[in-house]
Amino acid sequence: MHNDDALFKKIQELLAIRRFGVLATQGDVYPYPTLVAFSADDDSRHLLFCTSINTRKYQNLSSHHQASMLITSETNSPADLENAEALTVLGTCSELNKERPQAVAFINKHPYLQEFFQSPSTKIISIKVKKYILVTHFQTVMEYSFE
Amino acid sequence: MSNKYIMPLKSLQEVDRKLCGNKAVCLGMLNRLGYTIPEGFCLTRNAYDLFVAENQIQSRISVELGRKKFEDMRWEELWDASLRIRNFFIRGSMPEALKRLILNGVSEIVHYRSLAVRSSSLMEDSSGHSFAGLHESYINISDPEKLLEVIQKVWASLWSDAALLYRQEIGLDVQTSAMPVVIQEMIFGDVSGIAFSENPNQKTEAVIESVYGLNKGLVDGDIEPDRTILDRTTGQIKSHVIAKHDRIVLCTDNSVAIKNQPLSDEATLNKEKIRVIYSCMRHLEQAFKAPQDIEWTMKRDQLTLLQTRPITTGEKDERGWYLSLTRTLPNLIELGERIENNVLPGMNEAARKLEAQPVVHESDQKLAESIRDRKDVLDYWHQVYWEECIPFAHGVRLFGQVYNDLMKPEDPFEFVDLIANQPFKSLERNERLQRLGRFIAEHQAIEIEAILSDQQFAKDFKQFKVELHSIQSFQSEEELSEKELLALIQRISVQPTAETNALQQHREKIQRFMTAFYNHYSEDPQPLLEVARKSYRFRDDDNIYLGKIEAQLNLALSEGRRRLIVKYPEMEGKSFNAEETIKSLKQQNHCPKPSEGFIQKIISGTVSARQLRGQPAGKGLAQGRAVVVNCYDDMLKVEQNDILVCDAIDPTMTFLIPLVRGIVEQRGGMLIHGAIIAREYGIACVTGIPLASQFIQTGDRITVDGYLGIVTNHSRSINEV
Repeated sequence: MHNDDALFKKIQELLAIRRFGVLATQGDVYPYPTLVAFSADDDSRHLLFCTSINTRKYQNLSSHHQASMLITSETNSPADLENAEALTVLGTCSELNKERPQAVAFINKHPYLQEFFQSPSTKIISIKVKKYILVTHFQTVMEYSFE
Repeated sequence: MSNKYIMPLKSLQEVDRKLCGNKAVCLGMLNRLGYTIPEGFCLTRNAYDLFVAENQIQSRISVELGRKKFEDMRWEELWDASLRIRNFFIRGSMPEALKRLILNGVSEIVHYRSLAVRSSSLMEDSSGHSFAGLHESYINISDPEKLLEVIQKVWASLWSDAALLYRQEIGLDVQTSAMPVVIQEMIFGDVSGIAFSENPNQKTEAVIESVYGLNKGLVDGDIEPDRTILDRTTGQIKSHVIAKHDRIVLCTDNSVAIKNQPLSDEATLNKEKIRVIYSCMRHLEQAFKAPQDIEWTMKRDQLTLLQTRPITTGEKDERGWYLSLTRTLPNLIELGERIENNVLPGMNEAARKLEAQPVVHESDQKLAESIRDRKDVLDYWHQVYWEECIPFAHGVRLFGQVYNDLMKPEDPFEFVDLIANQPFKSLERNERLQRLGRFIAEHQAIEIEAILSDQQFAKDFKQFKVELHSIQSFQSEEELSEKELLALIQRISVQPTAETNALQQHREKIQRFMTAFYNHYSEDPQPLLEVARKSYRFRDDDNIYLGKIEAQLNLALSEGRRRLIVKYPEMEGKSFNAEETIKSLKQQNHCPKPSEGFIQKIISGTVSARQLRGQPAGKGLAQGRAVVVNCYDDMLKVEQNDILVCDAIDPTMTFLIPLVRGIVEQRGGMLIHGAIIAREYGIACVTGIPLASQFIQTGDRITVDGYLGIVTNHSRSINEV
């Protein structure tokens, strides 16, 4: 179990800089990955993303609340192998009221999604993070757990 | 005072072009050539970039323009996109530091005088094409707050519908485009005008046009100018035509207006003044190494140059027609009266005359002639529709812009609520259907013959059948049985009519707008509101009247078709157009060539669409069974709570609307008929999905998200996941 300030700072930097992550939900047969815009709250205990209620990810989350997300700094170049950081997030999802301050933080990070965010057909989902797994330098894997 | 955001016009040089745009730099060069230009400064592209960054506008424009491929966007959709983008700018906040710099510039460089605010596009007029009217300018601005507002509007005009139309020629790009703005002292000249150092119509000549007062009326085409034609090389006057001087552009509070006012009969320019302007344009042509188009003004013999640019040529494609749709309020009022008093009654009368003529003729020749006559009448009114009715639809757009500028609503299409709730012909027809349905319900046990023997019922029923026939693409092999039609009517008539319970809110919204308009412009908003309402209503009525004429053509075509299928049984099930019908009726051995329907179903292999994105045209979320209405018979498949999927809702199809829960249209636009009627009924509607009928089949379970413009097909997945 790690409780390393430097590691946590690195995780927070990545969460602050990156706009998008790949969310994996559990389908009936296959894991289902999709690209989502996300934001993190101040203490990084929750990540937020928005989805239409008509999407597969929303349907999947209705049945299975567990989800994971991959956030990377990769630039699609060979150097990524050594330089890119990849953060895997494991957690449990629930719907969040759009009026909550955390929800407003999402729109502050993604103002261009205002219309999408405000639509009655859009839900804001909060992932309560159980564990962060940070991969650096190809094979260095560090974990940060809130438990 | 000069910094990265503000640069005095007089200091500008060629090197500043990328920062300040063409108009601003040319003014700097005119100053150096010794000409008088108005005092002023340029708000550089850095100011635009700062405003856009602070308000996160760039990414929002990307989202807006990323809805679909540019080439797939119809003109109406471009306008809708432009209106949404304009709202980003209008509702944006001017950064405090920039606000201070601008107001300091006004104080130090222009000394708080009345101002003209003009676009100085980085790409404008540099490609040899004429892009006049793409971007906006404002004159006689004296209030600092108003100045900041109009700067935001000029910035927004970088993304005007016309600019989007010419995006390739002007290199419009979300990442790199910006709009410098010229802010200069307003010169209230005694005489103003334009001058071409080379007449675009005759290269050996030069032209000067001049009016009393400001030249805005001349530039907008609202005031007839004096026109002087000169020999280009000698300056000798070849002709000098003096216009009737009865209108002038005068200043009002924070704007200008055209007033009818008798003025001097004398020429606006004497020979000496003409000589001064001629010398100036010859000199500028040499200095700028190209024939010049100059805007100028004269006050007590002092010539001031407002701008100079190379002479460009106009586009002769359909885009020119689109740009001509922009009309002024007086022009629209006149056009509206003509449509109301001449066009619509004319269409109605034409339909009535055709109704009085027999459809069935003994000989095929006579029938062919009758079809030809009917088609000619339709073609004539169709042309009138394009020339008069469609430009009049601009009234809605004008109102939308004024409303948004004034009220800054969150929803850029809120203005539609103020002009809706009118007695649409379609709604009247739906009421008639309700009447028919009630009658059928009351006489459930009685035979069809008995129901049809009721005179009023028979009349309404006949009218309904005629309207069904008017849908040209819905020509059917066989007449629908009366039993089927009665069943359809009954299904439709059990639905509630359009909601009217929001009427009070609607009235309050109108009142707020009226008050705001009067407070801002000190003018009665009623004429503008009336034009907008008329424009909105006629958009429906003109289609209905045109549909009546079409119905009469279709009756004759059906008879022709019936005869031709007897003669050529192999044509059964295939459609052919009016020209082929006429030709085949006239010529003994000519079998009609089949025409292609608009929908080609290509669902095959493993290609399918889970989600399709279009324009959100009617708020709401609806899920249900899709019914793709492609032909006449498809309409009968529509059941209560279905989702209607079609190319475009023809006004004559609107009787189906109360029955359905959602609408998906292949055609796009917020002001097209389907969108208007969906908004009227509060039905979820998504428009502008050209692939809808390819990827949705009747029976599919679909969701229409009218908030976001998304259609989800739950029945078509490659694999279950």
